[in-house]
Amino acid sequence: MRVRSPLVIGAILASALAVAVPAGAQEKIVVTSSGGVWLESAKQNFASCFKERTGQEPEIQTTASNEIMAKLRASPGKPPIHVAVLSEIDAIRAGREGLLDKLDFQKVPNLKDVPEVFRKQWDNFATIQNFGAMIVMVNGDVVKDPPKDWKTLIDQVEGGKYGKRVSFPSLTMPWGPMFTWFLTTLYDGSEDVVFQKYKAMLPNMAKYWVSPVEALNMFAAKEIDVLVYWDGRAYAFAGENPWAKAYIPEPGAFQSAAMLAKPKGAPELAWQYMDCVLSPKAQLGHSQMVKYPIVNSKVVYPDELKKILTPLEKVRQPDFAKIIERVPAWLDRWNREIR
Amino acid sequence: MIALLPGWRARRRLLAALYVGVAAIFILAPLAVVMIVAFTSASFVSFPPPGYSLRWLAKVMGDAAFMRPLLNSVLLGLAAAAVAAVLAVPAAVAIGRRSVRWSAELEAFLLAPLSLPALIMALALLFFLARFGLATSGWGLLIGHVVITLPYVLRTVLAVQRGLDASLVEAAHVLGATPARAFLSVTLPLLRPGIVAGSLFAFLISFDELAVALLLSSATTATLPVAILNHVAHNYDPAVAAISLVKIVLVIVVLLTLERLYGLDRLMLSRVRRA
Repeated sequence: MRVRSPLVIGAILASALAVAVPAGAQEKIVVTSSGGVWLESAKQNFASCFKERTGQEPEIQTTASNEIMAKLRASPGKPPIHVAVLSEIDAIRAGREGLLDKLDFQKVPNLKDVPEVFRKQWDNFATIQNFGAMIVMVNGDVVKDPPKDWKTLIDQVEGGKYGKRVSFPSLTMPWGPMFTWFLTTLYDGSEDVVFQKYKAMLPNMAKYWVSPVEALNMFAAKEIDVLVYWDGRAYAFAGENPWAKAYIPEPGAFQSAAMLAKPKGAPELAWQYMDCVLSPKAQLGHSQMVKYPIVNSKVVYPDELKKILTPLEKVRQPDFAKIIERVPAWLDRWNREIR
Repeated sequence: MIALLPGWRARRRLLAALYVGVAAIFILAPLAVVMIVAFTSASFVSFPPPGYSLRWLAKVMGDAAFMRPLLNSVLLGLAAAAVAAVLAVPAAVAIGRRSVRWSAELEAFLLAPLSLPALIMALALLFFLARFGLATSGWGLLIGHVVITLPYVLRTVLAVQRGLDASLVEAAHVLGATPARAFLSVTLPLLRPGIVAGSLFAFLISFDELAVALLLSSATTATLPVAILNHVAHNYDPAVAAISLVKIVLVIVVLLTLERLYGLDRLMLSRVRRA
């Protein structure tokens, strides 16, 4: 069969136009989440709580922090997003730029069970909803006796003990500055020493990784034997692959967190959603799904979960004010000396 | 010298075959890897897969987080291609015939989106459309995709328009056709290969476009590239390979359907040039 008329094609294309553009104003509150298991958890734990309380379903948008910031900056006071999950630095910037409402303890009663350390650096413009830490994964078949502390690990990489089968995070990935800050704390606050170490490790570094997917794939394909990676994913991987081991070198790790905030101008209902996110039941459910620690102090972890979560006393919260100030210089130095 | 010629020709053919073979491997190997990984039984992306299973295909086919964006991408691609064609055809005719002043400048203006990095264009559209309350609406996304796909339709239609025999349109006028009748009965059918090829380009560009969709889409209008990006940012399972396989199959089905209904060679530019 040969259809010759271009009008048929035109009709098909034009009819798509009518279907493609949803009609009507959006009434629901719009909240954000990362994709995959994070989205599943947002639906199962947060949205279900919100529906129970209000009878409404939130629209969950899978969006990254920098895209949220662009959208908030484009529409100040009329945000297209009503509850935002931001990176730590973006949350500080958004607060300083007047894009966020201060947290309201009356409207978010569960905030009282969230320790102040999870809000203080953000001047109460945002609160951590869950956090993780960057730890070390090793191929247990190859690295039988991994170093107990970070400085020994770095010296061993520098000395070529693991060949070129190591991958550390790059300064240019979103949490790279925080990792760099953490390394400075190991070397008496000296940025120079940290950059010297970065440079000295370079010949034995398979790659300073930028994409977390690429990093884990290299490890899964056994192209590298040592990987600095996030704890939740690391423990999940090790749980499924007996040859892989994950551990926290001394003196611990830096805290990496997802920040919860209400953009200025978002409807009051957004507070209700935030209260759901911070409620003990939703927090526990979330932690069980994503394998990261949460912040409500009333939550009691089951034993099997507790043993794979990095304890709070093992993580250091970065000094974000300092990091924001130093990032441009660090990036410049990284691009000149390491890249 | 003459005796060496057959040997040289054979070597040349061998080299050409080798060159084509290597090029084919570079183009097809990544697709093959994606297609194989889509059937892995493992929970993480690994190649070769430790075993084979349909679990990831089943997961993405039943997951609204992928299927709704896939449908959005298809509809948006069709709509963007349709609107871009409606806007580009009259512009291409006017520019091709030089029937408007400043036609060269107009062409440069309409092709300007190609000269901007996609992310910069997306940011500009976001801030511009936000002033009209369209920043994350379906209309805003459609406008954004029309802006970036229009140059592709324009270039393709313009190439056909410039190759047209103007005497055919003049003959229609001499025979009494009005300008509208001459356009519909003579010009438009002659432009068809360019319109279809340009629209197909526009659809594929829109279907794969990320930067504009990333900033202009909402929860209800998110496209497949956005869904894939957001999935891989924090998840390491092979679901992305499975949804990529679905996407590849979908594009092949569309092309086969077009071939079955119209014959792709009849629709494409090369046929017109040969004629």
